[in-house]
Amino acid sequence: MSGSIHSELAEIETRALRDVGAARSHETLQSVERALLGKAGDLTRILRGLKDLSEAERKEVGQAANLLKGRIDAALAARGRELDQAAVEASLASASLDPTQPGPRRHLGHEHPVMAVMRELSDLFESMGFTVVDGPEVETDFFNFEALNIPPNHPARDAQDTFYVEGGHVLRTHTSGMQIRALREWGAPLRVAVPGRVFRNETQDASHEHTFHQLEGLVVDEGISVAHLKGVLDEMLARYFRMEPGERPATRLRPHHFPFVEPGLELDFQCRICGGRGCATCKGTGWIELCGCGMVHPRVLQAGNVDPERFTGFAFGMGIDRLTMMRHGIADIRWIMSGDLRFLGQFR
Amino acid sequence: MKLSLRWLCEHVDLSGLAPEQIAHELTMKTALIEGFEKQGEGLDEVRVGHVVQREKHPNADRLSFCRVDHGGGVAEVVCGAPNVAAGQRIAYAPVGCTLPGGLRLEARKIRGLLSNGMICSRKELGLGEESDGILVLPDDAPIGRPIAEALGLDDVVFEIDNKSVTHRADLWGHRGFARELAAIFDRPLKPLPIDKTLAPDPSAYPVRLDDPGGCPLYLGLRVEFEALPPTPAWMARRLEAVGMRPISLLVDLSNYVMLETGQPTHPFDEERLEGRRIVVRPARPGEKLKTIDGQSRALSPSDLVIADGERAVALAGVMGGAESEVRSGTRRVLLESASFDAARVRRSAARLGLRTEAVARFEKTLDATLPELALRRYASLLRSIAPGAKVHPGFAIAGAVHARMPTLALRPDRARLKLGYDLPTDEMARRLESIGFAVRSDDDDLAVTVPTFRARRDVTCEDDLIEEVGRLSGYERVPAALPRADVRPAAAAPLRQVARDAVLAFVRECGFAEHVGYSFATDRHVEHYHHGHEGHGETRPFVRLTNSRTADATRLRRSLVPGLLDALARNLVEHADVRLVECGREYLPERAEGELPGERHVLAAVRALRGGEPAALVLDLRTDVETCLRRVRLSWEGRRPQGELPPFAHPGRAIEIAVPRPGGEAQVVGLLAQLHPEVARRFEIAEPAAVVELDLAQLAAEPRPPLRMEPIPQFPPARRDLAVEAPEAATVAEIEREIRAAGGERLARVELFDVYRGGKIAAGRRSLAFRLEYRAADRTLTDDEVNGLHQRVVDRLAKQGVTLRT
Repeated sequence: MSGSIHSELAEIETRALRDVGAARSHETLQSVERALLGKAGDLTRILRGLKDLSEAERKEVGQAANLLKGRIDAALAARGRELDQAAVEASLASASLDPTQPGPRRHLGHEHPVMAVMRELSDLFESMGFTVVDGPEVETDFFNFEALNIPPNHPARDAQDTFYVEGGHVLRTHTSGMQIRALREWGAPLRVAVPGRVFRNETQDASHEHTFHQLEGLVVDEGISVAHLKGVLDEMLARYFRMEPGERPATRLRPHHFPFVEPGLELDFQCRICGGRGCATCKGTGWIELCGCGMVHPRVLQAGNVDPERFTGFAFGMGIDRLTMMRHGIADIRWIMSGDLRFLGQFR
Repeated sequence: MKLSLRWLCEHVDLSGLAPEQIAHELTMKTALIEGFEKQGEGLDEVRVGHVVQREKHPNADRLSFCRVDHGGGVAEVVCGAPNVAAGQRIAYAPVGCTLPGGLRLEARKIRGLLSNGMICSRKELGLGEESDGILVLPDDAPIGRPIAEALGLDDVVFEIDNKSVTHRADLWGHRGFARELAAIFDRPLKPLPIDKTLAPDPSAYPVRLDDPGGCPLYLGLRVEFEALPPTPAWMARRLEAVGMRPISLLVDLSNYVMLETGQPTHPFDEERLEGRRIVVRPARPGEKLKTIDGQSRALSPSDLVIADGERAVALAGVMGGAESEVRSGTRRVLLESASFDAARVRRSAARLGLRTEAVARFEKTLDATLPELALRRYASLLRSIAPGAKVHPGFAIAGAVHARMPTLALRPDRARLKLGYDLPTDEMARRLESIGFAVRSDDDDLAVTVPTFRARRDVTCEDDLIEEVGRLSGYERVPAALPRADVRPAAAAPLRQVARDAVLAFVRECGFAEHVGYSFATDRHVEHYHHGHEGHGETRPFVRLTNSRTADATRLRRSLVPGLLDALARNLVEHADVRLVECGREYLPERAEGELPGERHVLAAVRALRGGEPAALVLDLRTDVETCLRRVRLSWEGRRPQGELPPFAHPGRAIEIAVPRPGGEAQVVGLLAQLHPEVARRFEIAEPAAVVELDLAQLAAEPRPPLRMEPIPQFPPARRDLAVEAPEAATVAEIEREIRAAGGERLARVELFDVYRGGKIAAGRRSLAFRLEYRAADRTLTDDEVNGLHQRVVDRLAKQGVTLRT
């Protein structure tokens, strides 16, 4: 009796090892396992039949069957690992892709380049302690001109340069009108930056727009000097041009006239295209005008209800469109407000 | 404005200074020099030639064959100019030379004959625009000399940026710049040769000032002569160098004196003045004047005129009259040199659109002592050029010289504080004296007397003196320093923050390009968008511009949408999916006189999709709005619009955007809609399009309850899908409200995931599929509990006519 069982175990083992070895997939391996060790499996049947044997036979056959079960489990596990490894190798061997093939296209938006510069500079001045404020685009004659020391009939307010609206107000020709509003509202000491849209009644061409953007800066405190004006604008340029820490921009101050500052100045920076040797961008001068600026005129401080004996201040007003055009090499200002996606779509 | 270096050198010795250096120093200390031009540059190889022989070209009627002696030999040249003749002295450009226009000369055959070089015209030499033939030189021009030398082209011409001298009346002549250069380079300013023998004589010619405010001083110099020589070549060259055409000696002298001193003068033909008198008075109503440019000008009583006994003969400070103009037969001249009120001149010039050289100077308020100086300078020049002319020793005078020389206090400490560096007091005094100010010490301060030529509007307070000191000392001496200040943070700016967050949400998350549009409403916008209504609902008229030079800029926009629709239409030509967003202002008319118009901060976005489905496009844009409002930390609900719709909105597919307020009425913050088909047609947008407008100030003002973290559920939810059929009139929000009411607090989540019409669904009804999640905070719900809750939901909906789909 036990002899036939032993030969049966031997036969099961032979078949099991053959079938395990022949399994090409986990599915086949699982069916081989089921045929041997499942509910109706060959080895299970033998193990179930142990209870019908004599105690001595049960012990002997049981031990042999269990040893066989152990060997079959080991063979199944080994084959399973082989199959896993083969699958990984097959995947590695078969998969490839063209790294230059693009993924599915996503519709990306575009920040307007001038607005991006306005936001960047607003943040920059805010980080330097300026409060960023905005004012009305339709402004009174008083704030846009008169309080800025530009009385009626002053050449600086030539009718052809200013848009007038019915009722005598103007479309602000600069953001400087906010100087007085800010001084009156907050008094001194004061640091404000005013980014905004301004208007000039001009015929449009490649370098003239009737609508453009400025950023005004105003600092009023005790002891403010031209040196502080230069310091702040140098810092701004260093950041705008992404200079290395410690690197300073080459700038120069030269006289210019604006009725609301005294001394009146322009700040130029050395042309970044030619390094100051002279090129088309800087019209051969080696310098590019950044902004009109100067020390706030005492009459302006007075108009802002600030005591010009106690406080001094500096102000500057820079054109954002030109800074943007320089950054991106935009040759014609009319693209700025063209609304053309062939233009807007180039900026990320 | 142009400056001649040779002219400047007559007033101050500039020898040894390169033009580059002069331009740089003027730019850094006085006024921006835009550039300079060396006359004759590029003409080094062009020489004076002599046409020794000229005959007709054998193969061409209009060409000549010439032999030209150029000092270094004789060249054979074919010439096309009709005025070439044997014996002429001409400008000869040899083979191998490059002319100012960039033309490089080579020997070439013209109609069979070899031409070695070129006989040049003024234009080819870069000396003029007109070119009706070759340039013919005087017969004594030395053969072989460089042409620049023969023509006296040895000047350097500087170009001044006019805008940088609008405040400096003294810089509108060479003398003023010479004074600056003398100070800058520390060289003496030479005295101006003037006729010192002249004396005022009120009887010399009767002058009456009817309007002393408009003309406080009027001088007249009488000159008689039989004949006058032509303008000397040196003077003609200088006038030409600075861009003025020589005309006749009398006129050229007047221009020369103006370009030198800054004072305009005007010569009248005295024999053409009626009634032997000058009256300076306001123009009479209806009075006309034919000015020297040949135009008949209708005058207004606000204009000041120079009149004789009969009629106006000149527009004061602007332009002379044609009838009293000097001409070739003139034998007697009255030279006017006067002071005119700057504002008056400016207004007349602006009204008549006449921007003359005289206006550019008078409008700046000239030095009151200048008229006499100019008169004496004119006399001195005239005497030296035309010794035969009889200059009357007494000049007519009316009015008075109102010259002021105020003394201002300059506190050196104040100057050092404003300039930001330690400038010595004695240097301040020296700088001021170098440009004509008188300085004396007054305790710690300086008492500074302003010269007449700076005192009118230019230097009137201490800060003006600080500018003079600062610029002449050199701004490169100013160090860079950062201001010290308190660390008080800037005030919060909710509108600016919300505007930025909202537009960047559209840009960065929804694929929109940021548009920046004009603030103007064009005629087309009014007609096509506002349906011709100048007032929206006849209540809100446009803010109008009164003086626009641009036809498209006559009103301020009342909506951002029309500009965006224009851009949408243009971009659809090249792009299938156009998404544009803009943050900007709408302008609303003022409510009361004198008040400023209202400015409303708005975000508007438009989208069009070629081949898109309109309803789906509206829903897409709705999701974009959802994204945007989330980024500005607001929750919202879409509602059927109440009241009047904006023109862009399709009434059948419009969504009012409302922000709920706890315990109150929801606040409407915007509107989203399919583009109205009529507006779409007018703007030529053939593709489905949708538009949204958001009121940014309202978005910024809405209260935002603090975001608090919800506890994370410990037990899993039970999910049930609910597909119902509902009448179209029942909104998703209403059905959701019913579902939530029935489900109670155990119903944690309701989400619409499908909408379907047609098929087995009856017309006027739609199928809606919701996913519901039931959950308890303290345990896992049993199937029986969930089924009971779900049945309550189904029953409640059934009562509203919303039935389970079978």
